[in-house]
Amino acid sequence: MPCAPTPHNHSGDPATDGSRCKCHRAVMQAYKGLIDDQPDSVARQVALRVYRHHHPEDCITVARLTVERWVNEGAPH
Amino acid sequence: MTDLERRCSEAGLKMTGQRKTILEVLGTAKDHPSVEDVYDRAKQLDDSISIATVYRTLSLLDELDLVIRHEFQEGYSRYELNWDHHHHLIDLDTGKVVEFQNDELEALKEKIALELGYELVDHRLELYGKKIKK
Repeated sequence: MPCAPTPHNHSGDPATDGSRCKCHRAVMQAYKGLIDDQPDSVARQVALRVYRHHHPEDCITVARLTVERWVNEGAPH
Repeated sequence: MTDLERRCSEAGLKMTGQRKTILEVLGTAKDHPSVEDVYDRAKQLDDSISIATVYRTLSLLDELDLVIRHEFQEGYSRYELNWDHHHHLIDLDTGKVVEFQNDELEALKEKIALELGYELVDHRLELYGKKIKK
């Protein structure tokens, strides 16, 4: 079954999403709390788990893409 | 300076190039290397290192409690870094990461591996929770 967007899917814009939901802050806090201590892949997995707690209605693909986008936007280049 | 080098410096160990090489070998080891193993690996990074230097450095690290010396009844010691070992509990609501240590948990992991016929070499554990409202 394809992974259809749900009304709760985030646009990826933390500024607007943040006003609706605390998930962006929680996801990024978890990621940043681990990235100095753990491999990046582990920090991303944890961030994904936090996201799915807030949005169990999102399919795994949408959740993963959203978290990847947030983490990559927040990562220093 | 790596976290490990910082810990060594804080413990009073002068960080020479050769000591950094030995720490690098220990820090990247996936096993519990013997003195000879450390020497062989360090030699590939810096061929000026002598086995006497490796012995002295491991002995110093042991005295400073920066390595754990294992005696596996082989007639010689094996070493691993004494990492600041801890686990994480993640608050699912806020994303807050809480570090914790638990000796009972450590012992239990060793026991489980042993009962399955293994020596525990590595593991990863994260706990996820929701804050209990009082």
